[in-house]
Amino acid sequence: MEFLIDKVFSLKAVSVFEKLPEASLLDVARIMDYDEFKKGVEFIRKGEMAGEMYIVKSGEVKVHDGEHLLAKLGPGEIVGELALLTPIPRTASVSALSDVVVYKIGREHFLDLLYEKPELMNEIIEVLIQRIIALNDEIKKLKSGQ
Amino acid sequence: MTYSGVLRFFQIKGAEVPTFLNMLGHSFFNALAIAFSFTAINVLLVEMNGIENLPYIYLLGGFLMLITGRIYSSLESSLPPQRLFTLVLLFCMGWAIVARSADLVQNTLLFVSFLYALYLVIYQLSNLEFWGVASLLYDVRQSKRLFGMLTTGESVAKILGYMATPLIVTWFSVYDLFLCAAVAFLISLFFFYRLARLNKEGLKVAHHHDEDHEKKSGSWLSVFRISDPFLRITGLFALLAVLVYYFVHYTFLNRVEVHFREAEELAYFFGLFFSFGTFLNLANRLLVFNRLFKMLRIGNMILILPAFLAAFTLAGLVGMVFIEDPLYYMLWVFGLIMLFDEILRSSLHLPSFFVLFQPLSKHKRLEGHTLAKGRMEPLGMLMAGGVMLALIWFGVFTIQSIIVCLAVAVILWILIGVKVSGMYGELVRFMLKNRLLTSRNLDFSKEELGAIGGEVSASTDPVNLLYRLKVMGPSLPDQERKDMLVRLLSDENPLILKEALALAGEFRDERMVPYARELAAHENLEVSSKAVFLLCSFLEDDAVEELEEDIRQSTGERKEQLVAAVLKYSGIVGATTYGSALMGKARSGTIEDRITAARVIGLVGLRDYYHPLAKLLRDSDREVRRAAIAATATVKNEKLIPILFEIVISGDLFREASRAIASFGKEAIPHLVMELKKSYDNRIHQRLLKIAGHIHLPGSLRMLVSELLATDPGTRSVAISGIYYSGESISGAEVRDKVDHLLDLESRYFDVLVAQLLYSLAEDDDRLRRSLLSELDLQRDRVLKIAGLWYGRKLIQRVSDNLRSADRNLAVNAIELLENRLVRRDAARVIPVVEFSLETLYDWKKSHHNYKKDQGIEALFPNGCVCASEWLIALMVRIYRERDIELPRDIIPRLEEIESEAVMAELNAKN
Repeated sequence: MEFLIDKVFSLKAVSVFEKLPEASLLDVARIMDYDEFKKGVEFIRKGEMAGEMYIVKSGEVKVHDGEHLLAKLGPGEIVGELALLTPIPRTASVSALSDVVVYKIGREHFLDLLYEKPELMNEIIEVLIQRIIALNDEIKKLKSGQ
Repeated sequence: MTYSGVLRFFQIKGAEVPTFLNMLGHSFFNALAIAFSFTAINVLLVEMNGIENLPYIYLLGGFLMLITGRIYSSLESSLPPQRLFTLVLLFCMGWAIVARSADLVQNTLLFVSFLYALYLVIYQLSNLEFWGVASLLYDVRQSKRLFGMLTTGESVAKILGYMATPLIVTWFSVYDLFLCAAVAFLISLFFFYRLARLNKEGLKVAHHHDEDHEKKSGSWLSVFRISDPFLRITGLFALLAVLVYYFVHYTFLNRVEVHFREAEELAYFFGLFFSFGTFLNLANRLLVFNRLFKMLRIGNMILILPAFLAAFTLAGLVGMVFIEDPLYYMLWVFGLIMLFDEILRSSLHLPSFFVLFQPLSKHKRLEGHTLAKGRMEPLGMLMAGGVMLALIWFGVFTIQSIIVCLAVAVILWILIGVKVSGMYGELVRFMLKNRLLTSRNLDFSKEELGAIGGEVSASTDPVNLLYRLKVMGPSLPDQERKDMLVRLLSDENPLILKEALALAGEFRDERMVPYARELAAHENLEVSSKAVFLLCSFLEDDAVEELEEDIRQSTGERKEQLVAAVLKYSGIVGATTYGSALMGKARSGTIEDRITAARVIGLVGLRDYYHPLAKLLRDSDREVRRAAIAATATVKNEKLIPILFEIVISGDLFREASRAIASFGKEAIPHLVMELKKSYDNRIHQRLLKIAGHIHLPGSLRMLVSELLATDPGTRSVAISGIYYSGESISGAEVRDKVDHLLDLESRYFDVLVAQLLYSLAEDDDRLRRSLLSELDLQRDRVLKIAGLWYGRKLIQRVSDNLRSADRNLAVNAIELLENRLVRRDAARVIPVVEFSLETLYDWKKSHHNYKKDQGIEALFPNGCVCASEWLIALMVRIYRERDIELPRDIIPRLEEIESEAVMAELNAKN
């Protein structure tokens, strides 16, 4: 049996959600689906429109562009978090390196949730703004370094 | 002429007839009552030689107006409008009944003087009542169509009332005029009740107000603290207008007193004089002033009355000096001054004066109106009384000295008027140059278009042209408008083209047909779509033939647009040519065809497409249903609403369906009320309530208010958010009680949550500690929103922004803001929650000696309520399980009652 509480703790690893109160994340946890892929299955294809975000629960996956390996991801790591907020084409493919179990959040369900809980949307906007500010600071630092 | 022809002629829509007729009856009898009261009180005062009491009457009247204005403002925010307006009408009626018994009072003159001062208040209140009712019942567009008729009805009532007074006084007595007034007020009340029955939603809901409203009801001394120079000068201008009016009023009544003694004589004189004045007023309003408004600029319009009065006052002064026996001459001069003052003031001066505020922001406009209408009237009256008392004090209180005062006031009025006019011109020029005006609220006269518009449009920048067309379009000369449209329609930027096409449609300029034809083939689909619709709207039946080839050759979205435009504008010809094909697609077995049908129906946007759309809304395919839901927003047939509710309840596509329902506005409310009465689970109930939050009408707001104390915290939260995000603050005793109750609840929860932080479980478990802190964060937002229901969103937004800022001074400022604006009891419940942080934990501990150190899960259920999120409760259950702490027996049933999946999962795992 999958505990909602554990799903919430998994969500805390997603950078968009890390600063959100757990009570709010409970609503996100409710719309999380569960999926399993056998070793070798390519479950995300480069160029497809992204509609879901995945959190690896168990097993290992690889992010690749054709034969070129970009990264290996393990439990707790995230694939495609921005897909939740905007429909963008996948920039790389993702395949299972072993039998994997993932949590999955569909964009459509996530937008329904934001409609029902606008407070959650406000919190996410705030997180994104903080990120922009941090990036701007980073750019400033880099520029001054040059 | 048929019934519908009559309605068309008067620009009344069928559904508006009952409300309009009752409103007409209400305003008609109100005006009749005022006409009777006004004549009667003037006749009595003059007959008793009471004109010398007028300075005291002005002083008392001004003072009473200040008091009643204040009471009215506070009642406005605590009583539902229906009760407030009933009270006003009863007060007016009571005054008339008391006035009827004036002949029984011993010192009648003193009593009549008092009644006169009260009449000035009654007049103000009845105006407030009428405009209050009108503003609640009609929106801006309806006002423009219907107010002309309502005020004409009012003028007719006054003419009849004034003309009837001599007859009533001859057959009965002056005192019986008051009885007639009381009866007229009673009939007016009767019509008001019928109005209230017809418009339950509009008149029964508690009055909504925002921060501006608080300013409106603030101290009248605030007139001395106006920071905006334009408002300051217009305020002074308004004050002088009132002062001049009372000087004219005094001199006129003084002259009348010299000439007429008998009540009957006076009744004849006043009756005929004012009915003639009202008649002239009405005729001029209909025939002359509208044209003047179109010709002259507002800055000059406001100078007409002062200039007119200056000329007549000068004539009065000349007569006073050079004519040997000026009695008759003076009566004529001041009679004419009074007459034209009445006419020009109500139909020319005041309307153009209030236009002065239109370029200002909503907040400043309200401030300007309140200043001119609410504050300057009593202040001017007090000042007039004060000046006259001063003259009495110095022993120079004669008609001559009053005329001199009048002359000085009029000269000052003109000087200030010239300044106002100049500042207004600068203001409009600035607003236009900086594109700060965003609506067409301003009607520009020819003079203004020449002086200001020319300067602004000197630039050839298409954005400037577009702006000028948008804001000044209806006032522009035909040829100039055409030239501008042609220039814009030849632009390359699709955004400009789209806007220009929309404007060409709005101005119905047929000369744009060739341009629309050309743009119909534009590569940008949005541009071509607008052009095709515009073209078809001009071509009507001929569009079928003209676009036939295009439709045959086109595909996809382009084809959908062309067919939809023809179906929309080509009437029966379009329907016979493409209607059956559309129906065929709607019934087709192919999903794509059905989606196309739904989209075309949406583009056509005609109510008649109910049947196919209803079928598509129940389609087995999700994407077809999605396209059909989108189409309901333009088809707007209320018969579709129940199907949309079915979708909301089913869950799939509920977001789209909820938005579609909310777009129906008022029509959706009865359906929503019905659905909310059904017993759905909390999640669906909240979903329905959320739709109410998106409608933003008094009726939907009432639904949210009624759920503020729902037992389910989620439902409460939806209701609070719905009201909060609607931007309305609510008032009324019932709502105050609910806000009180919610704040009490939150205050108790706050103590429980903080006590948990000090409990050993939280001290040992970082997850719990973090969760409690984030729970307190969430509570801070919730408490602020609850306060926002009463104190307005603006204040709370400011507080929240300051609290979020990294600047500590701003956070301190936020707390100060709350301390200053919240009443003490509310501040005591809100501020501790808002300023809570780990640093303040020690302070809390000191002030709560009795808090139990043995907190734990049972403390989350104080007095049978649940005071924590299901997350916190679930986490506590898990921690108990992990640490092998046994859950108290009586807590388990309570945990089960929460019906939370998360809690139940933890509970079952333990068991």
